Amino acid sequence: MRWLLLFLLFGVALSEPKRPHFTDIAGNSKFSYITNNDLSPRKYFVQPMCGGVAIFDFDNDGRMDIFFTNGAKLPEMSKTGPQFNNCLLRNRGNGTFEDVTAKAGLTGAGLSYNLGVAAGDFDNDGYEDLFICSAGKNALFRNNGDGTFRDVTGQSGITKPANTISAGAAWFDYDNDGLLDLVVADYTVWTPQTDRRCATAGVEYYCDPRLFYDAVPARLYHNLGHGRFEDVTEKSGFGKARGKGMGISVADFNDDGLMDVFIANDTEPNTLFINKGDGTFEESGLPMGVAYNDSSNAVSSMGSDAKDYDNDGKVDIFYNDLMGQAFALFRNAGDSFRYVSATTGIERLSGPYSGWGAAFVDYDNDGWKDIYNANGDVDNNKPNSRQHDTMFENVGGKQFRDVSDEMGKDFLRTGYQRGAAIGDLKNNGFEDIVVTSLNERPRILINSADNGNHWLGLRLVGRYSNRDAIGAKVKVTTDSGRTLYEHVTTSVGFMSSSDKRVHFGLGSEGKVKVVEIQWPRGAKQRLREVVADQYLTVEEPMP
Amino acid sequence: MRWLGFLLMAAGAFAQETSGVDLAMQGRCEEAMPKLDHVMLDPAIPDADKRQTSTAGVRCSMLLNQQTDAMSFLAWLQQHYPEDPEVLFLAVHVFSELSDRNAQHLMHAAPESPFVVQLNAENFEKHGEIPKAIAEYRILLQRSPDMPGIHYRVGGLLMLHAASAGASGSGALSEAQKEFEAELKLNPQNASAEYYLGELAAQQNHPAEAIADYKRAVAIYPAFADALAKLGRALLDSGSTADAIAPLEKCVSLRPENPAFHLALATAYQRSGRKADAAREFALQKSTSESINQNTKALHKTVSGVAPDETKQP
Repeated sequence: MRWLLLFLLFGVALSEPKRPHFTDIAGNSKFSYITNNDLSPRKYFVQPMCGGVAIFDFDNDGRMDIFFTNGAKLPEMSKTGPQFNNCLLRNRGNGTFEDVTAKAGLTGAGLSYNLGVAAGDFDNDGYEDLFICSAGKNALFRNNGDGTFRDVTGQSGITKPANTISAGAAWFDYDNDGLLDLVVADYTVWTPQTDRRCATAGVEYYCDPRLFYDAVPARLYHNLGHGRFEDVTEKSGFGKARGKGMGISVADFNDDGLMDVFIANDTEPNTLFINKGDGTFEESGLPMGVAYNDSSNAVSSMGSDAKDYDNDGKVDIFYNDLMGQAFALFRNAGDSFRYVSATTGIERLSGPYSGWGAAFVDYDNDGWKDIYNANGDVDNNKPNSRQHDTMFENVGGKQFRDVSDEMGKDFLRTGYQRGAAIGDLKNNGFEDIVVTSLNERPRILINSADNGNHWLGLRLVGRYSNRDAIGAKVKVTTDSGRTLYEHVTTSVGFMSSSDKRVHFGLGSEGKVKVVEIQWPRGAKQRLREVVADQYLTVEEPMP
Repeated sequence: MRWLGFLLMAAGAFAQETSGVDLAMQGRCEEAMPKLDHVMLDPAIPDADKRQTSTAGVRCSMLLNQQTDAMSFLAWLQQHYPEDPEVLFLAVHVFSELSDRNAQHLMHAAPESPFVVQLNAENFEKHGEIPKAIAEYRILLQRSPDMPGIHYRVGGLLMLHAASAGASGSGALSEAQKEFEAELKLNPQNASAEYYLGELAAQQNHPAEAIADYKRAVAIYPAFADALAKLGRALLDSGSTADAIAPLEKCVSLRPENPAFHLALATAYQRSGRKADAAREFALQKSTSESINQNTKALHKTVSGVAPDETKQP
């Protein structure tokens, strides 16, 4: 009997893969940043949106650093003290981070209530710059290359209609001219002075956005070079579609070599801007099947991500929303998208959660992109308002299962999680997660990287295309013939920006037969017989 | 006592026929009732006066626990003032009170009856206490294993439970499947049970099974719009676009106000290359959706607790 028992135990162990888990190492570093939305009994509409995250290498030392945005004093809408400062943490490479915010000139003094952040090298000088979204004036910070940043918003020409809330932004090169353009997901027109109050029995709650706040267009800025941008919202067609923009995902959804834009809209139909290649876009959310869920409901779409979850070479779309609504997964079928939340299990798994940060992340390097969500309800007035993050593991590109309970106690910390970015902070080939939580310290969740799976990382450097290579598509064929797909983007989830390096989990395979790169400006490149478990820097071949 | 309070609130005004209403106002309902009846039978008395009489009649009947009389007075009010908020409010109270009284009567008259157990279960269900409702229905099934409709209700509750339980709800789904199957053994004509089996099969990514279940639901009840819509959607997702169009067209004709049905039909037309039809259905999806949104917005504004006088104060 004893032997039978041992056999059964061993059998169980064999049937379940070893899963990495996450440990929060934020406590090892000295920094004062807390995501501060100035919470008080007087509730302002903007408060649930706070705490954008960027994972990027600002000093080009090969290690991913972290930037957080922060709120402001309300109703003043100004950063009245250090408790509202944004925060830049330099990765020391030893599991700790140094707060270099002031030295870098990124405290945000002079800015208002900040929301999303997008990292991208808009001037192709080899240093990552930052665009910061706000309820109020947005800001573009140029990386000087010496550890400091300069606010160049004034001369950039990036302006927006007065009093719009900009939730998130993404860098991408829509016209493939080699310069990163910028799309900004605006939410509505709002100021503390026009803020509406909703209350029950004298207790305030955040008003339903459908009641008082009108949808506005997302804004598109064309990079003219030399640090100048032109607002092309109207002439590009973006101005024709209104929404309450939250998550923003850029990818070539129809595989025509041009980057398109998906925007998850809160309580409005989601929008999918298909790039027509002549400087204009056609909003195609409805005919492409992503405007609504299957019930034709415009839900409270929050964070979004666009990656190929089923390894069929086509970019799929995910967005999260509020509890009771079911997160949405759309499989790209080529001609349009199919809503597959019900058939993949996402609908059932996501019911109890309100999601914000969202990402396709192959956390266990098995070659299937899993789905991470940073959760927590909008308001703090329900028993289940505080929520933990979730990891939905991708089972062969067909089904997802909730493995959150196995991700470790730090992963399961409850709260009002908001922005989240993905990146390899230890350069060990396993993806880590940085996530903010309202009125708490953020978590820097390090992947235990202990399941023995192999991986490959690519750092693409554009020379003719944009230097970040945003929009480049990569296909990997492993030794066994398995094909995996990725594209370069930094935009992720909600108000956040991820490690721009392309990451592939390879499972048990230690070698890649072919890496095929299609650069944004058309060049194709092949690398053969690439050994796994390394970051490879690949420069774009000149035409 | 509640009905006495209502009586005192509804002061009568018409001079020539005040006596019945006056008596009712004084709580002298037994004396008032014959006079109230008399007024209602007199064709010469104007409706406005009969309205007062009927209102008093409803309240007196409830005080005297004369349920049939209460229903008669209320029926007159509903027939003549169908949209009147005061009449609607009165109806809510009458039916609610009658429901309570009859429930109590049932419990006293037949405490061992399976209907008492069912009533308990329904009460739990109404108050969102799903596990308790399931437990009560299962007691009922122990006592009356052949009672139709109960397995179906348990299955529905298990699906609800699973929806709010996230990952831990998967066990509930397999239980739900067994309940629907048990229901169909008792009552093979339960189209809803077939429909939910289809839902479960679809959730488990078994499209062929789901299609078969939806087809059986529609065969039992051809005007089952939701089943037609799900059948069409499942066929569409399986690539059988041409087959999807007929059920989708039918569900749209049955429920033209439903935006989801228009969306599914538009998608089917689009995939069939019928661009004009697709455009028409997309437009209908948009208009029906906007109409629902407007209603929702109006409803939310009414109940949201907005404090308009404070909106300008930061």
